[in-house]
Amino acid sequence: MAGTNAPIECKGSILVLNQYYDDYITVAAFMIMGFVLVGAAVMMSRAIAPRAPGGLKDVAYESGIEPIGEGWNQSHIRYYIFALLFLIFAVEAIFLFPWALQLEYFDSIGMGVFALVEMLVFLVILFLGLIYAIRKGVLKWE
Amino acid sequence: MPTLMETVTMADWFRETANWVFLLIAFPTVFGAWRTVSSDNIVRAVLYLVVALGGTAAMFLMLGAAFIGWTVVLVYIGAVVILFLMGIMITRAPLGAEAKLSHGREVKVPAALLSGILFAVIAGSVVDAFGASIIRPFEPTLTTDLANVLFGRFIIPFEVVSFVLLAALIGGIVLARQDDVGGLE
Amino acid sequence: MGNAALLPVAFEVILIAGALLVLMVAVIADRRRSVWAPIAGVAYLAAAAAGILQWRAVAESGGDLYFSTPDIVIVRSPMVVMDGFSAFAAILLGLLGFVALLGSWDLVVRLGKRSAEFVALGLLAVAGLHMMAATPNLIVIFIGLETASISFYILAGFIRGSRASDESALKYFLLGSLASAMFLYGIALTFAATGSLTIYGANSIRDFFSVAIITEPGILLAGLALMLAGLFFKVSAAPFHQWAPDVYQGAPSAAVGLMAAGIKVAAFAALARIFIGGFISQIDAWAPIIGVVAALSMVVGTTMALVQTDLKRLLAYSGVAHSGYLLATFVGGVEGVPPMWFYVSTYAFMVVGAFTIVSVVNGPAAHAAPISSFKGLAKRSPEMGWLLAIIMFGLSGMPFFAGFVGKVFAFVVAGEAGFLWLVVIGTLATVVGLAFYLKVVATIFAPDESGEGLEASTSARIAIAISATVTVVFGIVPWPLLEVVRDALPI
Repeated sequence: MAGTNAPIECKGSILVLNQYYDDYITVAAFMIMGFVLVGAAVMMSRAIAPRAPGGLKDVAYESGIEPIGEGWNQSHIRYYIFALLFLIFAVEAIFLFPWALQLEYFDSIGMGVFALVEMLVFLVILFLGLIYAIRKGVLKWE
Repeated sequence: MPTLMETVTMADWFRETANWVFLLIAFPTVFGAWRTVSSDNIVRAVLYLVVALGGTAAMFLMLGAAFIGWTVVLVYIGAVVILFLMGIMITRAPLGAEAKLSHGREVKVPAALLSGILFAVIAGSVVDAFGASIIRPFEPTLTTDLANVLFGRFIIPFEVVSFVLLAALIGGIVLARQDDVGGLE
Repeated sequence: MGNAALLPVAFEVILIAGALLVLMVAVIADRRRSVWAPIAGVAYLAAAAAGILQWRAVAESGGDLYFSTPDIVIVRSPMVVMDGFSAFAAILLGLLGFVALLGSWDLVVRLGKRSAEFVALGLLAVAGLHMMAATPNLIVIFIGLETASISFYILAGFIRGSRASDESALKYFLLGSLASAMFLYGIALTFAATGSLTIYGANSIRDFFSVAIITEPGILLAGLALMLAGLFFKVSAAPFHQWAPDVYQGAPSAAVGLMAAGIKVAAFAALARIFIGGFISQIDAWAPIIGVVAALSMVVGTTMALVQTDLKRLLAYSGVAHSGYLLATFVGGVEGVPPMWFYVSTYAFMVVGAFTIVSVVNGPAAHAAPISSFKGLAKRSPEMGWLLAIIMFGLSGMPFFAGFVGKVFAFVVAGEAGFLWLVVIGTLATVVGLAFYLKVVATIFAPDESGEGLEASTSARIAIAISATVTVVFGIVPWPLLEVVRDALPI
């Protein structure tokens, strides 16, 4: 609450929080190990591999047709709709996750059908949009 | 104990592991955000944005909001950044070192001033309100709790989100469809 | 969950069902004929009818009705509330959507098979707009705002291969997203200050103010200021108005009516819901801000409109001024809500009518609408000329037209709240504003040799006629509507 010096209300136990952080410490340990292992492999090859720079080795593709122009090329706009659909359905999938996690609980308190219907409404609205996109030929690859 | 933040003095502050973790996350986040706006290369700017977003996600994780943290990773780093890169690739925007994205001083100074004022106001008011508060151990928000709220009290906003997504879907079709330029003009 | 339980969300359910039906019919039906447009028209009318049912249910219950679902928690902290305020918004937005659809019928026909998307986006936008008026929850207001805004961004850029339309959509999108972000940040800071996202119900903002004593108001004020800035942008109040002329100019004329009028109705409703419903105890903090922005909008809108040579830009700047008059009602607190409703409902129909005439005269997809193209309109088409003149009189605030009644009540409320300087500025702006409205009227009745006939479709003529009728009828007999809006208060 604004302007009060009172400690912020908390219901949690320190144990739950420790458990939570412990899980992420495992993740962090894995990440660090990953960096160390890959880094070590790169360092090793750097240390023991023979080096003779120059010549054709500077070309992007060593033993093929010589590259011309720039590395970046303008792509066709048709890709855009796929990226956009990916984004929309990524958001949709995010909502599926907590729902799936808790569906059993909803069922146990007698709200299983309600929970199922509310997710179906959500999915059907977007699914009809997808059907429209498909039938209008937006996703056709030509 | 990484969570007891009984902020009394600077020395106390640095004795907390949580504060070190915070700094470890905060500095790359701010650096990424800074380079996103200052980079001359638009592709690099997007990649720095990934750094900033990753820092934000880590911050959410640290605050015990695991679901939000991973949503940032999946939706923002996973999908929005892809969309940005796609957007760059389909336009004829100049890429690489020759692309001069920076504006002149007449744009930079007012923009910096405005965002500086906004930052000062928000940061000032937040510190004003919460600077003296003591954060006690808190319970991380479980995704199951979130589900109970989302599919209970917040069911109507949840369904309305599908309206937003449907509007975006139709919008994508309208703007990116290639077949008929006909119809009108 | 019976039928009665669904009534509070009936408006949204009907419109989203209509939008999906439009899309599905467009997939199945004949590609050339836009058979889906009548579906949308029926959906708007059904939604307005649902609004009337809501109104009657509220009147019978003598108070408010919550949206009740199996979960008891929802009743304690509702996401959708059915009161006179939301029911009136439902009736108004349903009818407005219908009239705007009639006005854009020519564009729908010319768009051919793409028109299904146009129509569906309109339905989605109106559903989002009503969401903003019907919820006591700040997050839901934001989601409704985003639904409407995204739809409007796309409608602004609907004409493909047109630079002006692209520019309009992009400008609207970039600045509109910034405004939405500011609004969201304002919600976050307000939540930090009060610990609540909902205006009333369990653990509401109202409860917070009834017990808490604010010692450090900084964070609350920052939150309120950011929310205000976001909504000021959406209603194009000065100094957040720069986007409006360019966006209106580039967007297809037939779509601008709904964009301009709809967002004003919903954003002012949300403003009343948040600030008069939730933060009325803080009125001393926010009323001066709103008063200054109101005065600035009146002055900037009026002076900029004086020098415009394009009717669409002129209407955009006149919209800035009208936002100022509308904001003036807010300084009066809850007393200002009925005048706000009266003003915004009559203004919305006038705007839709004006842009429909623009699309009849210059074509539904045209960007430019120079005032000179209206020269001799009364001769080319006496009907259109007179109707546009009536709407212009209505917008200017001439006596015996609806705009006059709205302005008088707005000024009375502001004056009673002690904002006499605002009333003086408003009156001056109204008098100066007469100049550019009358300039348009003079152009309409100017003699013009090259007067060729003007063809207008029946639907466009109906839309304009409805708009002009609203302007005249509520200008001469405003009492029925004033009686109704007196009950359209937020709980």
